[in-house]
Amino acid sequence: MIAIKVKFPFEYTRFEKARIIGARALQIAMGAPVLIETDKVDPLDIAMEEFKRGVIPITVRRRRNEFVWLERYDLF
Amino acid sequence: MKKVDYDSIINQYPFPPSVKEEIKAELEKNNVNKTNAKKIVEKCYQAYLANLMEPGEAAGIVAAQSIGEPGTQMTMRTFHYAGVAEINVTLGLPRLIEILDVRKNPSTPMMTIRLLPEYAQDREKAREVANRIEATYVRDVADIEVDIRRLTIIIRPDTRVLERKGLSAEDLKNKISKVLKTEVEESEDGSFVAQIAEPSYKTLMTAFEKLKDTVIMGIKEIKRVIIRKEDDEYVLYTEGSNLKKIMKVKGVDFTRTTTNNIYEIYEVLGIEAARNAIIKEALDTLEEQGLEVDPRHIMLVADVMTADGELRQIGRHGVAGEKQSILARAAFEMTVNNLLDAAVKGEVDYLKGITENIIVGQPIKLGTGDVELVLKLGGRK
Repeated sequence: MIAIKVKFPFEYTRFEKARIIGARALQIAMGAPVLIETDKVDPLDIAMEEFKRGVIPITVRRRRNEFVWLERYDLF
Repeated sequence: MKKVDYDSIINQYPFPPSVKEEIKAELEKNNVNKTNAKKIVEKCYQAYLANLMEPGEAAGIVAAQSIGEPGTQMTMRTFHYAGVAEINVTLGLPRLIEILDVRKNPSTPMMTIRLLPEYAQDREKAREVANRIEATYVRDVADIEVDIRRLTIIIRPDTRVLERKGLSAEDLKNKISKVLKTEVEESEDGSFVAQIAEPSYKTLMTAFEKLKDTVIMGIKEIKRVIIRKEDDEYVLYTEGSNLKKIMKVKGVDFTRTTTNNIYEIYEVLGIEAARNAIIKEALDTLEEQGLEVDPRHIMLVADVMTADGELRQIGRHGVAGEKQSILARAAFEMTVNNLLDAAVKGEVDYLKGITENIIVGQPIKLGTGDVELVLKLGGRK
């Protein structure tokens, strides 16, 4: 068996994405400085563009250590 | 062109068996060369990863609804003469309940017994094994009478039946004397006369009753055996089940013999076998009713039931009743009792589950509620 390069999940899950954009949109709505040049007005739209460009200063902490992770892929 | 070994490429990736087969079939159909095959399998792996369930998704609730919705359409029709050999089997909702409740004695235990090659081809040989398995009582092979005047029991063996069962009169005689613990004499007309040790009417009658229900051959639990030809081999179907004893019978291929009694499988073959049995039985029950449920939902249920190494039922005495959270247990059943018991024992609720958090009015650890945000330093790119 070859070493699997990407460990699942490799990207943000859809829940993480929603949570990050949501949190950022709230910050913008409450007057936080916008980090990109944009014509958009709606804080949610701005937050989504910021997320797309990867400038949101928020990430997630995954509780990997609290679970038993199945490293044995042959058990699938 | 040299044939490419697709298996070695596919087996490097952790696909489930069904996906592996599908990829292999497709590769073979198009006769892909090695470099392309590698690329294709890599792409398949990416697609597979993208289709896995994401952490945080409510897998259990989705499973529950996916089984529950078709379940509402299940008829209450319990009994059904299955096309397979006229054996009466519980089906539909009652059977599903039986599986999830892990009943130790299902209402219609049934076994499918496959035979070793040398027995499977020949009907006579299969009949021989069936005879060894099927419970044969004294009353099946002989007439039993009580002689009240002499206080004896007279047994008249039916030679034709005995012959068909492959028994000799001598076997019967020995068995009877062993059960009654007395001498058995043979009279001129071939019948046996058993004298009761203690001459009283009561002992005579108890001995008579005991003799009637004595199994002289076969396994007590197996009430009926049906031989059926399936493809090119004879298969035995039985009413009643005793996996442990059947597996020891000569001529039985125990690797291909099963029962529908899940608890018995758990006891004899272990927890993994029990898990597979739950999945198979539940899927078969749903399928028979024409309902299509994705096997993965059932697998999740089976996993929950078998996770800690022993079979746990879904319900009061199992999964739901043994939750560590007091509030979750109280929400399920017997609210006051649960709370009172927990208070007496001084239990602590750590509010880690879903139910508890809903009760106290907190966001639950599911989906977006399970995400923990932290500040990312480094900023603009």
